[in-house]
Amino acid sequence: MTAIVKQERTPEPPQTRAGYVFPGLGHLLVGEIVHGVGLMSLTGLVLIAAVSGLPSVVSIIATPSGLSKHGLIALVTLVVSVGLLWRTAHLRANPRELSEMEFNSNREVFLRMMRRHTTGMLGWYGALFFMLLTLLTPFLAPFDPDTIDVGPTVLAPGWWQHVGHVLGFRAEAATHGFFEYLMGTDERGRDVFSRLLYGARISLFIGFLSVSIAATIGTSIGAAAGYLGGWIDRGLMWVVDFLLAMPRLILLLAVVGIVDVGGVWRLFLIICILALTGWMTVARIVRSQVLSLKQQDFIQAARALGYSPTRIVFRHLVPNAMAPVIVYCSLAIGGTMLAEAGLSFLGLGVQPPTSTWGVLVNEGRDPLRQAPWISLFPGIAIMLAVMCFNLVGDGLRDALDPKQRT
Amino acid sequence: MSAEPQVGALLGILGFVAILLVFARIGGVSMTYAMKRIGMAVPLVFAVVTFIFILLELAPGDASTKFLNPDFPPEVRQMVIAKYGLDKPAITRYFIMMGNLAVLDFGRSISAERPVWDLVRTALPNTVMLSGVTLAVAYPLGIVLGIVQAVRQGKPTDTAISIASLTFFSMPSFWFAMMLQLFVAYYFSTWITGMIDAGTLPGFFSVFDFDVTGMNSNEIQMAMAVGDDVSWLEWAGDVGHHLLLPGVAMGVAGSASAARYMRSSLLEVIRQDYIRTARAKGLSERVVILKHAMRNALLPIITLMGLSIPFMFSGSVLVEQVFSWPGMGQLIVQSIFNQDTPTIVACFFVSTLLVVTGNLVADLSYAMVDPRIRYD
Amino acid sequence: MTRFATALAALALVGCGGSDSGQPQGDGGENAKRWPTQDTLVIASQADIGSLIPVKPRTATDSFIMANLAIETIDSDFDCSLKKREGLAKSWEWSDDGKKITIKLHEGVTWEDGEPVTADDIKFSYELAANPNVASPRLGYLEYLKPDANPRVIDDHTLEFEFTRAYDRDAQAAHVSLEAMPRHILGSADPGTLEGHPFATNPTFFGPWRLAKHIPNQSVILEPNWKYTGPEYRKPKLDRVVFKVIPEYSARIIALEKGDVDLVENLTIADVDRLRKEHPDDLDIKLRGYRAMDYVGWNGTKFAPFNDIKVRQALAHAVDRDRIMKKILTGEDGTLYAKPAVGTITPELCGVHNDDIVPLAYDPEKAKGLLAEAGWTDSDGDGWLDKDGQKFAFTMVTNQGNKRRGDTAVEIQADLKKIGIDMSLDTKESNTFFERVEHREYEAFLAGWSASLFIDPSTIWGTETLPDRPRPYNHTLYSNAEVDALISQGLNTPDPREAAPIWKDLQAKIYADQPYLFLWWLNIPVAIHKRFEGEKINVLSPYQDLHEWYVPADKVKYKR
Repeated sequence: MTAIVKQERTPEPPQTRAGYVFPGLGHLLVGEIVHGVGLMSLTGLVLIAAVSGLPSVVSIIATPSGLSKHGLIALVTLVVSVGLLWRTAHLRANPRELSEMEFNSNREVFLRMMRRHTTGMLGWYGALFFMLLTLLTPFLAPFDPDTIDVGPTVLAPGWWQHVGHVLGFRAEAATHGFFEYLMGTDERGRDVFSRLLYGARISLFIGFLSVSIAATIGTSIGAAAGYLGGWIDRGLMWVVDFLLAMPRLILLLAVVGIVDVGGVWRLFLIICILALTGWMTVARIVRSQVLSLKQQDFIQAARALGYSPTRIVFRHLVPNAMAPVIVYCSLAIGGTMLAEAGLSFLGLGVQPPTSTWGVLVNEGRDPLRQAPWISLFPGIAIMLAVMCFNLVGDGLRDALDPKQRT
Repeated sequence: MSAEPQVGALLGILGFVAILLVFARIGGVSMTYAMKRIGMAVPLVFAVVTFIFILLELAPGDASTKFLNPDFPPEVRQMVIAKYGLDKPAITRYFIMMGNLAVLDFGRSISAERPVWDLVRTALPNTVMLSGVTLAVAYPLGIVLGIVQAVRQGKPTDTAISIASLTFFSMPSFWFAMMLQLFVAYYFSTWITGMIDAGTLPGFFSVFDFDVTGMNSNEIQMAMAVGDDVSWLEWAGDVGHHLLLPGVAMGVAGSASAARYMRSSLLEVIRQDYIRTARAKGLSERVVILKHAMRNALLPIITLMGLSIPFMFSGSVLVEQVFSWPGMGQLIVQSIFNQDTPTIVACFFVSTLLVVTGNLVADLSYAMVDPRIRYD
Repeated sequence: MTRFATALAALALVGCGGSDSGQPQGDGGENAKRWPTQDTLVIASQADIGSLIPVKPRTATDSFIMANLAIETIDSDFDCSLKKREGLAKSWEWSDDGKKITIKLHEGVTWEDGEPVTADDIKFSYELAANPNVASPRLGYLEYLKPDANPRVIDDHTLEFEFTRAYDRDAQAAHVSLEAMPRHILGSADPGTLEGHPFATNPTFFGPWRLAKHIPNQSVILEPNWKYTGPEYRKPKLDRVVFKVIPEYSARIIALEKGDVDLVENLTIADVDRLRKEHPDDLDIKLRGYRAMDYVGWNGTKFAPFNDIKVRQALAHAVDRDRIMKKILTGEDGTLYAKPAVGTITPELCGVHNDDIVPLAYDPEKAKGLLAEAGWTDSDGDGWLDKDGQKFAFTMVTNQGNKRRGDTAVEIQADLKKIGIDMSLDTKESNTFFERVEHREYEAFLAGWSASLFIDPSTIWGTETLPDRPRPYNHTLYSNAEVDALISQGLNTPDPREAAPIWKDLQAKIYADQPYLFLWWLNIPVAIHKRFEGEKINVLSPYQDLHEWYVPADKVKYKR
């Protein structure tokens, strides 16, 4: 935002070297609870992945020819995240370096606001956690997600009976370990936890990609409508109204139900359709931003300088209109994931063997009474992920809102 | 086609428009503006229908390839195809359909082989009831929660409600519905009835014994079937009881978003000068919030309510599946799978109409709440 | 919910001053005719009724319900074969050449509105079924009936049907048993839009039950037809039968366990085990018998190797059917809810089903050998079979929403992978799936047949050499002249005992050709509340002869 804020020097944060021992510990010790807990859980996740993935890492190094794409991604993620975590610890140990880094005043204010925003940061760490989870999945998943009979069919998690005991529902005594099959097995004897981890990738992938496409389309259309005005504006806004008048899920259903494609094409169809039904709000936001920015002096100046409209729109207008779009997008990722889940629930989601959290919930529909865990956990995963993105969105909105800066 | 369905639908829509106009009148919105807005909705509805028709035409195959009994000899086959006009070129069918829609004749469903209006007529009231009641309860509740949060900003109440509403807002409605069905309608209910049977709880607690599905209990339906008197009160009580779980599954997200919006909008308003003035005058906090701040803070919520009608419709499609609620959800999903063009078109027609009305009502209420806004 | 509704009812009584308390239901005049009945059967139904018009049923449920509202002319029961028994017809007589049947109807039977049921009403049904504008699914009944004036009405209670040829007598009897329809009500209806007629969901019949109320998409409630005038022994013993529409499987199960419904069909094996364990006192599990079969169809026109019989045999040897059955169709107590299939004739038809066919055993080595003979070997060592540089890879389609088939497909995939065949799966929405199969746009498909209880293999196996027979269901384009000859021969043999050896021969011939990978016949489990007695759950219907069902006085749940 362009609001002018009274500059105050950031008081130098207290220094601590505890982060070198365990990234996040330092933050915790100096009282930055959210950062501390967030970083520590990320570190924990990386550690678990490193330990459980060690055999596969060793085997990858021993036989580089057996290197799989997913294994490689996980390995790179592991190395990069170790580096990044070390960097956070390093910055906590040398706070001066941190304050020197932030030179742009606007960005500094924003980052400071965001970093102070407890729930926003909570969501941020949660979202990071989920992303890390998806990238590290090959090291974390105890079983292959699609292999049948890794355990007995419809086996309750080891701890289920204890919950049943407390809540008073009937659960059979388990003969397996407390954490073995952490989330139970499904009707084909596949491990629900492993499926959940692998499903996370597609769910998040769909969410991110379709929102990015939607944001691109929406920004272009909104900027065009706002900048060009006239009948183009009216026409485009009529299209927006038109698309908003159709219930999204039903439109999705109609398109996916009628356009009959299978396999990986189904996945891309879903992404495209989610994007094509999700750009309208972005267009509205960008348009109204552009309309108000258009009148401002710096745009008039750019015009007077004879810059091309393309340059004015993309170099001057759009960057300045992006803040609310970013906020909207982080909120829309959640909404998109929910829409995809709804589609999967009606049996029109991605096709097996690919699966998403929505598909997993759907798989637990028939055996709901018999094995609630099959859909219980994927549902909770959807909820937590959507919640994290919503928290980030709220945090960003607050941090970008000049009125909140006191 | 018989005239009866058209008359019914026409009366329905006319009544609808009349209610809107009365509403506008009471709100002091100019009639011309209201009429103009209603008039603008018509091309939108027809555009949606055209869009869907084109989509269906582009798809391979049609209902005849899915429905014709392979046993049929060619002459019967021809007859059926001709009966539904599937032998005509797409453009002809389009104009016939549009002509029929203009007089509110939805045609015959190919998969159910009966007038589409029959199907819509039985399903639509149930969906409208479910989403209407949910909307009517969820939003005021959300507004109240939002006010409480804003008044108690930063206090534990605020945080607790924030966390709860965020949780509900992030939940997939169908999943929540499934969990309610299992944990409330089964585990909790059987636990309660077990205690009633054991005499630990008084019989009154049977209100917590929820049915798993449907709109009416077996007893009420059976009584209705044999012509016993089922009083209005009894029926409504029973339906309300059945509406509770699906309503909760659908409504929590609405409540949560209303609360979120209300909170931030009220906080925004409270910061304004005129509120400061009101407080300075020594008015009680109650009057300041409820009389002065509320009106302005409600504006964005009204837009939200109007815009959330399509979401309600989508939500009801999913939740109806889980609770076997006899509404539009089943009809929409089935007709799409069956590629039953007349039914799909009718469903889109009806839902677009509802959405447009929602926006219209929001617009008009906007004018009612905020006297500064004048539509002419 | 029982209690809450009762509480509400009490409340309402207080509210309206108890005006309706203690009053007998209905109008007093009819009460005299009522016979004692008690308790209600609540059946969980997957879908609402579509149309209760005899010439135009839409779903299996429609037919099951109709069987109670109207009585078939010659009624059937099942025990090893269809057993014909009196229905609306008191007696019937075949001509010596088996081409003509004369039927005597019960006299004094009336429609609910008091009009007598006459031979002309039956004629009316046949007129409608023959009308191409009706597009009746029962059109097949008329196939061998002489086209003109069939049936011939002799007097109000006698009629005569003439056939162009004699065939399986059970089938012939069934084909003359289309339920009567009231000409005085439907005579003026437009045949092209019959399903939209109010009759479709609020019919008038003459059977022991009547439709008391249809609440769309919620329930169908039957009560005894108090004006019933047919044979005495068909008088119902239950107060009501309620079909409660619950499309979700898990909701049906929960409703069953809560006691909201009394009967649920098509249980999963896992639920059978669980219900046996958790509800030993109130629920019974019954088996309907082998009516449904699962199989994999191979399409040689889309994937050439399937044209080679050796390949098809190899595939049969490669799939471990016993293991799959043990895994997905066996209960915890070891009960097997399926039986290996060797053809499309159900084992329930004892005497006709060929028990001598030994199903091809699981033998991956033999499968590999057969494939090698057909030229398929792993020549490039990548683990997958190939021939002339082409990998043995194909796609099997199946329909969505059927858990068992989904599971089966995955198991078959795993078995084929073991011998180096790469089968991928494609799950299609049901309507799309059947459309694909009908138009033969698939390489392989996993589907099922619900067996006809009359034997007519021509629809599935017949080919061009049977010019007078349609072959709408020959999805795999199977063609074998010998089989065609046997079909013709069998279909023209009226005596079932004489036809049996022909059909056995036919099964053996088809099995040798392996046009399908025959999987199994399913014995479908049905859960029913224990208080019911006299219940009959069989291959014909999950609720056969509802008039015989009753509840002993001490176990009554729903009191009027």
